[in-house]
Amino acid sequence: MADLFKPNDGSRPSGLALARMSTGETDRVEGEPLAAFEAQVADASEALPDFDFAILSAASHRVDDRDPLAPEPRAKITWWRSWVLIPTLSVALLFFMTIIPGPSLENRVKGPGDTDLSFYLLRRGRVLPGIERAPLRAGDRIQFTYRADRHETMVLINVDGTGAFTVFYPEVGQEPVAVLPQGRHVLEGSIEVDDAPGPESYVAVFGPGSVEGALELVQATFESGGHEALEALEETDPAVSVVVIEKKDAH
Amino acid sequence: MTSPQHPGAGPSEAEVREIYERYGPVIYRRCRSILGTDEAAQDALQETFARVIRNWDSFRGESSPLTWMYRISTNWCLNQIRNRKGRQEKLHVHRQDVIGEGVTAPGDAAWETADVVRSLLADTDDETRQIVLYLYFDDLTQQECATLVGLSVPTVRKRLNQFLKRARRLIEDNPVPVALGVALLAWWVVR
Repeated sequence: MADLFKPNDGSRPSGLALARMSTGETDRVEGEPLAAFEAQVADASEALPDFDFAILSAASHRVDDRDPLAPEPRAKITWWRSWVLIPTLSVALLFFMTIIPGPSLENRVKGPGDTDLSFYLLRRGRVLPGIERAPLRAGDRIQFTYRADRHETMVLINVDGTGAFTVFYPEVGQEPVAVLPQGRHVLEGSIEVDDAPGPESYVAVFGPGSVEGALELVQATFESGGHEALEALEETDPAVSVVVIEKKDAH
Repeated sequence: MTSPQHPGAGPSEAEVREIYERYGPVIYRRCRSILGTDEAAQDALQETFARVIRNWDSFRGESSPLTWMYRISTNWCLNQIRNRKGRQEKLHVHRQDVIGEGVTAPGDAAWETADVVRSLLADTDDETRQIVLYLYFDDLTQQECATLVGLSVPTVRKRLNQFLKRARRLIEDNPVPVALGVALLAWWVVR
């Protein structure tokens, strides 16, 4: 188990890296971490069920055709349970609101602060997950997804390797674009990566008063510390989300 | 990812045996670590391999079959954690690992009643749950985690920080256990 307050900074091999070494997917790096990992595997293997093709094959017939990497759907609530659930929840809510003091309630109500900007990479007809700081090539296209966390507008600003600012959304005008406040959505249109030098930052400012205000925020932040400052802004301002990309073979 | 394949075009027994012997032990170890019991890990292992067989063509096309199986088993385990009544026990055991040193935790009784960690996971979106699982159980770096979840590193960092912030707040302002008990009753009715 890891300590979440002391995340793995790359100074030690992760559990996945050790597992890949142990199964021969990658070259082994002998040492204490791998030895300890394999000891755990050996210990666990004592309870490993014997291989039974008939059982596994039968189980595979029960599996539906959903993408196996998609999250499992939540269980449905049967109608009779909902009759019990609704009054119970109502009592709980009433109790919660009348008895519990304010600060505890804050813990229960999720506020703004979960905005997110991510992207897909479109390369030679393939759709790949966008990986932060993975080098992109001129001609690659990126399509953004966002989560607005109750905000209804957004401005997306690009800062390229030369420090030039470009407002991508809105394409024209001074009004922030409308976005869907709940859930993750794809931002319409894709952006082609050019051969300008990297890195580039794409900064999504959610719920800004104006395009000008968002631009001023991004410019001031960039001038105070470049792309790293923009990344830091993301962690301090819940209405801001940043994607930084690197360029490959840029001139 | 290609479309799922039907079992008619599936693998032979020898092919499945080969991957079972190669990957089964590490997948099993991981599932047991996450879910806490051999029984649950056996189910998770079986479900993971059932999906491998069902999606054999996709599996064979993966550059790292193990990573693909990790992601499948992650979904299964998260679903079990979400739905299983006894999940708080496992997380309770490891609460100090989650909270870290130097953070004042309330007494055990409060923890047992409030079940802070379970409450956090229950209220957390799927992406954050995956992130916490990969960072906590698999000790992944944030870059590895971002690649697996399909998010940027700053986003992973932000989600983790938000999760930890909520954890700290809940510890410091431990809510009244009775109200949580009522909410837990509602949860029990739903499950």
